[in-house]
Amino acid sequence: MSKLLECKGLSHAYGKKRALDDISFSVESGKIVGLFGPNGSGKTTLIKMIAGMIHDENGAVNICGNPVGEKSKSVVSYSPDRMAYSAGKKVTDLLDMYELMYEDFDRKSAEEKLCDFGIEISDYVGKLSKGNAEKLQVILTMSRKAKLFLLDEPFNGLDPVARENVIRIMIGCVPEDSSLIISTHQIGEIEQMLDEAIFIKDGGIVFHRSVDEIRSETGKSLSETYMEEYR
Amino acid sequence: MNKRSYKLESQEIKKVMVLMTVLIAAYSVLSVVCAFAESRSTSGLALTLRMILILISALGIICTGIFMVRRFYGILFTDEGLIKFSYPVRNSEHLKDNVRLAVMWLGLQILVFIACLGISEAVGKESVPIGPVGSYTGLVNLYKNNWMGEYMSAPGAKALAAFVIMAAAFAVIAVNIYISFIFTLTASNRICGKYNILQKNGVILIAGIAMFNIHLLVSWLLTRVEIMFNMGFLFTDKGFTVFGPDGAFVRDIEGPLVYILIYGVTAVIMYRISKNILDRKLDI
Repeated sequence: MSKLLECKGLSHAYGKKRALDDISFSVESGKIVGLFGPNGSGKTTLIKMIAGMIHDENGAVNICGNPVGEKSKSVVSYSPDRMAYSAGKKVTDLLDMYELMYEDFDRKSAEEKLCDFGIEISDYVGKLSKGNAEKLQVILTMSRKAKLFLLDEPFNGLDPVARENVIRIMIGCVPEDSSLIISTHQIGEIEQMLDEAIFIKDGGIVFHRSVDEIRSETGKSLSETYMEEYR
Repeated sequence: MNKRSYKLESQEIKKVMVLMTVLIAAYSVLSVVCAFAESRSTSGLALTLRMILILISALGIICTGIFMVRRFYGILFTDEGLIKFSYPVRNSEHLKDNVRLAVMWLGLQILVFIACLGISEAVGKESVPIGPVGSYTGLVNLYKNNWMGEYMSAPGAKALAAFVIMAAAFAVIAVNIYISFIFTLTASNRICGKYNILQKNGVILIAGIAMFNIHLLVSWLLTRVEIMFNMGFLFTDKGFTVFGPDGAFVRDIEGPLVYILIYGVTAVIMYRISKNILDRKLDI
């Protein structure tokens, strides 16, 4: 399988605090990767670097062979860790915007999923509950035929049933040759869908391995491995 | 411009169109009312209305500037940037679009204002139709009455050239002021993002200090150039005899030309630095 994502020597600091310290890894096509670590370990910073929100002068990020830029952003679908849409916009405005800016956006599919979750396209974003706003963001992100999906904390504010539905959307919407990187604290709920896991601590990668390997070698679930690693 | 950049710009145009339409409609209506009052010889009312027209247009231009700066601030310093900078366009496209639209809308407002002022000046004083001819006649009258120039005894090529150069100088200064706001926002994102000082609340402080310094520098440069001109570099001490009968014309345009040069160059420098920061050193 070809390398979809390659990160080399990524570092970033916020003032004196080192958020990422010389991180290098790669992800092949068709993989679902979980990104785990305690709060402040650098998960969001790493995802933002891949999405092009933060530039590292010394490191390199390549997506489908292209450095982060116009070409890579056309194949990356990014959902930030918080609600980033203006409260004054309607859901239909966001659908229009995605349809306008992304050629691979499937509007019909997005509308169907929104309807399934009971979100009206005439609703204002600001009037949606926290959970529905998160669902909206995930649905818009997953309704693209991107090569790489980046979901940063997509389960914020979601009840267990909604989380299950979102997971179902994620599994159903990721094309076979695309990859998904998801950062979350709900390890137990997504463990079954993951191919690989990356554990981050203090800005560095602790390990990056296949989930099956971790389970077979340790005899423990991913959640238990996480607890052991970060206790 | 590629297809995606075009889509980005068309999206932005729609967002500001309502505000611009309202503002332009407001001064157009006022200028027609002013012209009507002028034609009825109620000069006191006409003068008041003209003052209101000037005030509203100044307010409109300032509001437009603030509105456009606020849009740029939003993508750099709020969560909106997380979505906008994930669009499949170069980061600097957002800067280019913002500045292009701001210049377009501000320029349009200024042109409409000038045209309305010309109309209100012309109608009632001379038998000219409302429209481009009336507006130009009115503007020339305004210029003749307010900026005395020996070559302005009749409208002609020199009068038009002088007027256009002065208008261009005004436009370049306005663009420079707008770009200096954008530049300080971009620089603040770089400084605050990298060094984690002051955070977003410090942007205004940094913007104020930077703007003050930029305009201090430009004023200093302008003073140096004007001293150079007035020390007889081009003109004799008898007063502008080098250019003969065109001396007055040259005297009137040398200041605006210097403004265009210096404000234009500093605007380009600030724009290029902002573009570089967005493309290579973004930190959202």
